[in-house]
Amino acid sequence: MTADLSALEALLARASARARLTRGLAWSSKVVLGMSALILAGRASSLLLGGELRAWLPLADAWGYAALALALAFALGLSWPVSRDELAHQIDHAGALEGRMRAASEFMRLPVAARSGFVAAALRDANARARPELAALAVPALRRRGWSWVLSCLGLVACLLAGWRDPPRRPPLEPVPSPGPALGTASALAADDLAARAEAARALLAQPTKSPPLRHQLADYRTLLAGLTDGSLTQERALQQVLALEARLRGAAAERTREAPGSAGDTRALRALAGELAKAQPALARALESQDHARAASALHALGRSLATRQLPEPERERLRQALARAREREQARAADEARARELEQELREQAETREPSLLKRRDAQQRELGRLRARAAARPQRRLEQLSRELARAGAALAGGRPDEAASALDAAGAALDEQLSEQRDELHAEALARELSQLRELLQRRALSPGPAEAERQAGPAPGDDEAAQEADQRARAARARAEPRADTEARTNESGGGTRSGAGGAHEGPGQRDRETAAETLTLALEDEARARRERFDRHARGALDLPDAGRIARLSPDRGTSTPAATLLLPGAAERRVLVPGVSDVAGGSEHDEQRLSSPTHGDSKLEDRALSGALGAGPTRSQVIRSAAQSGFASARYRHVYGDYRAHAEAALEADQVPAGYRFQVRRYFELVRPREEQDPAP
Amino acid sequence: MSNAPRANDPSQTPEARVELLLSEVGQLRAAIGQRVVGQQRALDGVLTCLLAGGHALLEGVPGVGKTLLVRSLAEALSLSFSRIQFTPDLMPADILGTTVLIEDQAGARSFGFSRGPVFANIVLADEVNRATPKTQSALLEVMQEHTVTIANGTHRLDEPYCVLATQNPLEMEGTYPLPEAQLDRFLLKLQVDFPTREELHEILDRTTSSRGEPALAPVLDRARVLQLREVVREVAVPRQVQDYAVRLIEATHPERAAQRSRVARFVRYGASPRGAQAVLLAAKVRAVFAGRFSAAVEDVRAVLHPALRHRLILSFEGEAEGVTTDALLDDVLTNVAESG
Repeated sequence: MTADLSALEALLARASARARLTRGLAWSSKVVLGMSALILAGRASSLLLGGELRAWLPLADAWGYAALALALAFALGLSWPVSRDELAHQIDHAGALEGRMRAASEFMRLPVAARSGFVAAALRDANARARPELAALAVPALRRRGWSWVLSCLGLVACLLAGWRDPPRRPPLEPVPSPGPALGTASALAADDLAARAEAARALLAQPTKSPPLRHQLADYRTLLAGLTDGSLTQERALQQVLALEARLRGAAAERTREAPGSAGDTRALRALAGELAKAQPALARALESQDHARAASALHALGRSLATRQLPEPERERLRQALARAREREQARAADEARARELEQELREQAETREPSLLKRRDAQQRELGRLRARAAARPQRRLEQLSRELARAGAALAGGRPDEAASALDAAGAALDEQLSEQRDELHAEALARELSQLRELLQRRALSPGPAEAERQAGPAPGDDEAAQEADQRARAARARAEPRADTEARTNESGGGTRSGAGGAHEGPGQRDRETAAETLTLALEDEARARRERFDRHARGALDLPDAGRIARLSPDRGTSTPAATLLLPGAAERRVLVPGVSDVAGGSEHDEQRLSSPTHGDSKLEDRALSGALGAGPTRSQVIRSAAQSGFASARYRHVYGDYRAHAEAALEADQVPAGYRFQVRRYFELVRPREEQDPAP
Repeated sequence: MSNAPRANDPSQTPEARVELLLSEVGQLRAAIGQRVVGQQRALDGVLTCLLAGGHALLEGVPGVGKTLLVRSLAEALSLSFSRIQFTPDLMPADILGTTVLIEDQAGARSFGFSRGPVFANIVLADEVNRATPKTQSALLEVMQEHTVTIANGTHRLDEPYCVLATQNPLEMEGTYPLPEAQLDRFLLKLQVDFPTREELHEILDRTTSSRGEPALAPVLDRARVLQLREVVREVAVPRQVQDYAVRLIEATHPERAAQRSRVARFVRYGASPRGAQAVLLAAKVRAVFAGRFSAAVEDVRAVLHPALRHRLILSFEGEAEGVTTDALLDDVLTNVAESG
């Protein structure tokens, strides 16, 4: 009799279809998840690195491939076979059927004739319990811990958002004109190159909002290039002008750095400000957060206008009032901090020489408070953004006082402060571009001055192997020697100008003034390099004699051999001070300890003690178990400390049992004899 | 056999037979429940042994109802029952029987076999570990072959035959641990737990009042017990379930277990093939008690501890560390996957 298993078959078929579909979707979701991770990683890397590494762009362009991968994953998941036994097992779990379906799945494969009565009964039982809804319970569309779906959806949304909005990074300023052609070789100093550099300088000069010193430097650079182009300027003269221009640029940069020692305070202050304005003015807050000064300035101007024309709705105005009130409070707190810090510094200066204990305590407390104030000051805006903070505080005060016009003008002023900041940043970029130009030009001029033959020969010879490395090395050497080279070059230039070339060779009478100048400059630099090499040799010799360079001390401190011992004594020769003995780690000034340090707590160490170094290796873990201890004792003797503990425990138990129980005398004897035999041995005892 | 099921008889279909079995086992439980409070696991174990044709070793502290359980079971069945109180001076002849000189009315003398107490359907071996190994070993043949051989004569025991032994795990003074060969002959080793608070109240209510111990009416006779045993034997076992049981048995052997497992460290000898038989038979009984016609891996997991806990022989290290076989079987269940 063939059993009717239609319900069971239908249930398994239904579960199989669901399993395939679910698996296809799961695999597709994993593909989506992987792609989302790739896209977001690329986007994050482009944001974090701040560069143009936008790995997601190629992927975003390859949506076709992505769709193909998705379809492939779905098709594979759909068509891959599903184990019926596994499905039956899942149905058992879902329906609490205690293995009925799993057994039936196996019994169904038996030939009908081979099925026993109980096998057929088991099949009938499973068929009777095969309800269609079990398929959904056994193979749910979303698994209970199927986070891949959630993650896939989140990843997809994140990708869409990331593609929708531009990353909040600082927008580039106006494009800085590209520098002139690269200086690969010394022969690149051609008319075309000079013309290209002059063009670049013109473009730099044409950029708006230049500070007057920078405009002057750009103009000097253009004049220098013009002089080189028309031949009215000798190359070493041009080199001197380039060096002078570079020095001015470095000075200006150092001045800016001194005035604004770091941008960390600016960043923190801007973030704090953005946090306060986040609810009132989200666009402005975002611009401040991303340090997009142009957008922030325009947002501030627009806000000022809408405030002045009374176009700002009342709720928004209220939010702005609250936000600016917080900014004002912060500004007031900052001003109070500064005032308090100034007072403390003044008091500390006055108490600098005091020895009064009570005043000393107070001074310590004041120093701690001053340190705290300075730490808080680290989060303040620096010079450039101080005005912004002040103007926003003023706007807050005006809004709180019901003076919207004044608040609007303060917001305009805050926008102007940001404009000024923007202009300064542009100037910095332009100064950097000019510095690059000057550096390349100086390098070229120096190499031409050092070249043995005429420039044309160099041009025909082409670039030598390792030319770039040689150029870098020459640049470093020239930087290091510049301090010595410049006075000498000035002196000799003056000598040349006044009395003619005393160092010129036999053919000097036939040489033109430009060639003589080139030779003089080359000789000057060669001498400077020789000076540097001599200085290095001297330093090396001092090291060889046991001398030690202490650059911060300004002069040399030396470890000199002392008292006729083989160990060098630690004696420092400090500039402007008497000879002073100091402790130098790792160096002993006495042999064998003839005297001892008063601060030493124990007796001097004797060098001739008969100590012996031994390498100890520890073992991790709780040590041997009790069974291992007993086995070890049985095999290698009863002499270990661990075994002594085990023996003590067991012996105590045995004695207690012998005392408490009625044990025949013969047994007592055997027990005691046994324990005597396994008694722990002393180390010196012979092995049992 | 005269009681063999007839294929066309509706009352002899597997469904009807299992239903009848469940009904009768239910009646048996109810009858025993009149005397014994709680102890459902122990009762299940004893019934499993009865229907699977095996013997049970009940272990528990004194006073938890081990003897009462066995005595009640014997009363609820129309089977012969004998109780042997094992003591150190008990001799094999005391339990197996002996040959005695018999003189008939004519004065002729001959030797005749006087049956011992093992000649019963249900034998309660109380405090079995108090007898000497010599006497304990007298049970080996009885339990395995259901025969007694004395004086060149072999005597067959009546079926069904079931030895239900008890032992006390606390009083080890003056006891003799059962030899491994005999332990292996017990289908299950059952732990008789201390009753719960409610059960204790019920026990006190029943036993400290004026009403006496209720008399039990027999529920099953000898023939029905044998038929129920046949039902159990016919329960189907899928190959996957049998394979799981085999892998569990293998995993109890130190040489086949994973190198760093606790079984490899603490077990000297694993379960024997008889252990595998015990696991599968007990799983079948559990399946049929649940109204199923085939055993499942859940059944195997459920019966693994009582079926194997007395079959694992611990190594010296395991004994010294105080490792229990139940803990090792837990490890085995954890480490062996259901589907190989």
